[in-house]
Amino acid sequence: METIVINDLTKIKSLTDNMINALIEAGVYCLEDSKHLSGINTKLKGDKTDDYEIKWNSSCNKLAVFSWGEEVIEWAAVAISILVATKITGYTAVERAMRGTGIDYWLGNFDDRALIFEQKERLEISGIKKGDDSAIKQRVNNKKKQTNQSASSKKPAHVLVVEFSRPEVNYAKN
Amino acid sequence: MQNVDEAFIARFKNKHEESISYFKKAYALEQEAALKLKDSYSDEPTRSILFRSAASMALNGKLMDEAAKMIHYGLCGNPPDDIKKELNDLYEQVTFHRHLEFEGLAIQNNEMIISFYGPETGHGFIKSDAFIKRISAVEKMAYRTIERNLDLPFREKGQYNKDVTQNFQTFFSTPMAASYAVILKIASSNKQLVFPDQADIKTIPCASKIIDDILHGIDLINESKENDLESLIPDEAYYNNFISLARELAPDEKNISQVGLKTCLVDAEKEVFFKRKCREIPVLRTPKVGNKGEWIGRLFLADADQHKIRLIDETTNEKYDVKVPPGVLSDIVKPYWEETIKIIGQKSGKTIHLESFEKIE
Repeated sequence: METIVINDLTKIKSLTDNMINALIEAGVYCLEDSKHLSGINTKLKGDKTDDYEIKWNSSCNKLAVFSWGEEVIEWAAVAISILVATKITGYTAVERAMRGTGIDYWLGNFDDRALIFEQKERLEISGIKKGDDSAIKQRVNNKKKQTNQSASSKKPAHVLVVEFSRPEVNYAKN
Repeated sequence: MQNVDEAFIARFKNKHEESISYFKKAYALEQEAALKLKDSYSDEPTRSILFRSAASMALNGKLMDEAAKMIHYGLCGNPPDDIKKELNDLYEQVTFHRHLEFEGLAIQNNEMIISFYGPETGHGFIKSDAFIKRISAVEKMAYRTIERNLDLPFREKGQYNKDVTQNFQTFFSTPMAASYAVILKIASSNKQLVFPDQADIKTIPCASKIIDDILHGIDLINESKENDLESLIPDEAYYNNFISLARELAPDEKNISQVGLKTCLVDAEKEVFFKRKCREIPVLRTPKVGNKGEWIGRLFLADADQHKIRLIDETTNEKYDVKVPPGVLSDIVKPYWEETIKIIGQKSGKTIHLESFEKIE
């Protein structure tokens, strides 16, 4: 079983320190709020299956994060998904995607950044605090459809939907 | 997008000015991208998505004129239905924000602007029943929040506690000709209170705490976080009361389309707009006791001790006894005395257990 450490987000050079801190805080908050402890087992389901152990070594200011509202779930999903996407594709998040592309991040090799078109693959992320199989399936399908907005790029699109109560990560490739 | 992320992070950390500044930077870039597709009407949905996103950034960056411009560009194309709806919703928000911009008005932290917008409002006018119902709900919410903060048991009947009314007073300003808005001011003494049935001395909560509590509760309703609202208001009667008053205050489907509340906290202004219409706010939580149904009749008879009211269908003369959950009879049901109302609930034997109700126009 592979291990995902949320705090490893600090190694991603394309994200700002502010962004990394917020993602870690949101990720830890949503997992702890769903009564999970560091070391929780997580299943990857869908177009690829795997088992991960998710760990974290920091706490979050629950009261402060609570005030983020619904946004916290999306941020937490980004925290987990960027790390899972690296396991699946071997690429890391290199750039935040523009609106209208239907995706959240471009994946690639950070070392390639000197090149203008270094975006290798596409990543779309979504989070669900607590949902049943049909809600998750519907979300995955919607997100998969959404990635068609940037289909002209001809780059593979990866959709990751994180459900926090179980927790599990649902994956689809487009 | 990175600027938008940074803007959200700043907002989460209550750095409001910094957040606005990031949104302005994000808007400048997004607007540039969107305008490149201004005449590319076949590039949908990308074209309208970019204008929607630019408008949203301008709105968050408090650039209302720019936001309106982006929305109009977006609508000028061929946006798909869902994007068209989002653009129209954004336009309503822009219009409403403009109404809330009262030039030169300094609002204090013990004051709250309550603003209404919709077909039943005009420039400085509002249909009286739409206004009275909502303004009365806000005032009741304020007094109930004060009583809850003082740990007083929920008062199902009778007047406000004398100690409360002597130490808290509510005032309304003259209306402001924006859409239609008034300021509610809560004046409080800084005494300490001793209640006979409570061992400890209660320090009067400050008015800003009461207002903040109300806005926080509405925020939770907006975000569908009823469980969190229950944690904030664990007492069943107070919870029922708050959520029912919120339904009274919220916009409806056709006459009042926006209701906003705004105050001034220590470091920034805080404003809350109802994101849910009254029918979208959850009904009272009634355990499954019988078959769900709707009943229409005139409201007569009430027993505050038994939490019961009686509904009479005037065409058939049929009488219905309705069991009302705690916290609802005095503030919510009573104002509809002798009115014809529709009750939604569950029938068990001869008794209907109330979940929600509305006046029949």
